[in-house]
Amino acid sequence: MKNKIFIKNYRYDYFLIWGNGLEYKDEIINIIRSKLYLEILKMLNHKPKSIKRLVKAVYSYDYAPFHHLKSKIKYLLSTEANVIFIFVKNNNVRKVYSGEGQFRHVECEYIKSIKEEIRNKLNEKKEDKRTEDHVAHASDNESQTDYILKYLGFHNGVNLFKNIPNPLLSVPYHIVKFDKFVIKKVKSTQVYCSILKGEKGSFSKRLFTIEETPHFACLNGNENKYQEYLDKFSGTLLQDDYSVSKLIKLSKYFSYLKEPYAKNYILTEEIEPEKFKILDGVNRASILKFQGNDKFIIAVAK
Amino acid sequence: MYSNKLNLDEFFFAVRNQEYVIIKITEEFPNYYKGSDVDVFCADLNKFSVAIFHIGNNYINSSNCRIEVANIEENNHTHIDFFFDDDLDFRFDLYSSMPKFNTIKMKKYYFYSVIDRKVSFFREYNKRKYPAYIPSPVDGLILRYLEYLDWYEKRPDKIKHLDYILDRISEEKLKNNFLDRLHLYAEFPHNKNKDYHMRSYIMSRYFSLPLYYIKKIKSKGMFGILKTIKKIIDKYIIAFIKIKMRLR
Repeated sequence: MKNKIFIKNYRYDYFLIWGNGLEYKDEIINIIRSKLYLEILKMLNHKPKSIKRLVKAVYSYDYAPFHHLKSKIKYLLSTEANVIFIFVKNNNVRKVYSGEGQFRHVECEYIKSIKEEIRNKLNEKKEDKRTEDHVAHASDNESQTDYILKYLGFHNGVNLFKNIPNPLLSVPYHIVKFDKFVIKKVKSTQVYCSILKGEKGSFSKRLFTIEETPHFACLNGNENKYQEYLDKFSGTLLQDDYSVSKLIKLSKYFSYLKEPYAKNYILTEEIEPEKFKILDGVNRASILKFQGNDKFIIAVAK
Repeated sequence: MYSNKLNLDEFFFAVRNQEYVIIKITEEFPNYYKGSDVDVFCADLNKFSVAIFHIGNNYINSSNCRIEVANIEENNHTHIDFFFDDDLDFRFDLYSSMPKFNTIKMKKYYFYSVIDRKVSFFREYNKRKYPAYIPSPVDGLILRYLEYLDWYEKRPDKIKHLDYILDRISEEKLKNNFLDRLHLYAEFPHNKNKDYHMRSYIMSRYFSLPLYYIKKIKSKGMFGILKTIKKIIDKYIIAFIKIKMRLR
């Protein structure tokens, strides 16, 4: 809103799971997911051409000169050239000064505490002491997040996450902007979900009814089907934060369009007259169907 | 005959704790005719819209109703239209900043001043009294006057606003307040100096030339330099003549 005074108390940060931390991937994601003030926006598997190049990119925006970090990060050069980036919206920015002399810099106490929690728990231990071979890294400031996003090919940097498709609805940043929409009630049989089929390398998107989705199967007790779907595509073609436990937890307390989720309409587009494809909200639609609703309210982007 | 498919009291009860004013409220309120609208200045348009949707969902669930929403003017103006059986029944016309008038420009903070000086009147919904808000009498007159100025050439029926103002402005104090506030918040266009335009044109057109040619020389290497220098001299001679003619 143009004329309003707005005090920003959030920023975009990222966590990076190094090759030596991949075996603890689920644990690390769960730690991040459990934090009240963090919202996972994007998860991305990345296979760099060389780990050395990636390490340089990650630390090139660091407060300390690269040659000082060289010994610290030597272990990384022997790890697998496969990492996971987790981009988050940090709603609890607590900036503090850290370090001494030329290494003095500003960082977020909150992000640092989470980073340390992960390292204390999962870094390799020798003689009951934590080694400094870190399994995960986190950004100190938003400009590092911006730089890494650009390095990964997202030319807008953190502006990528600032996209508000429509201010009146709560929809994720990756939906294309739209100015008009219709709120209406439709039959569940009119609503279709775009589901990925095939393998990571050769996949296709196909339309399925709600009952045919892995999400619905999961709610019906077939959790493996949804887990397999996530294992296959999460971090590559599915970059939002999805998990079996999250879906099941949501289904237990789900109350569609009730406060504070009054803006969270299932967003669709009309692909044929009276036939709608879900753009955001397959989980919600599956829960509604599972709860026995044959008709529900949707928003149709125009 | 009134439509009244929507219970407007239900909607305004839901926003009783929000900062807003209903502009040009009709005497029939909350009754309304099919196809009519209500203009509202909202301090928080998103919050206001969500409250409308929240109530609107009940109508969608219980009848053949749909809501069409359109954001206009960079999300500063929103239409929320209620359709029953494919007929437009009622529109909430919501603003989060001053509407743009063609004939007069108002300072942007007038919008907040109108909301800040709102006056309440009490209505009842479900046996509970609640306050609804309208502009102060002076702001109400100013807003009607602005609409009259904007429309009287195209729509002669808008003379009703002027009649309304003249009816109520007979009181000396109200008249002075009306003029004071209108003059305080009306914005007049800044008449820029003609010379300033000329200078900035010359600067932007010709001052950037040297930088441009330095780049060209760099890219063309040694062999293209002589050709380029000749071109530069020609261009500068033309530019010099042009400037002289313009300043004359």
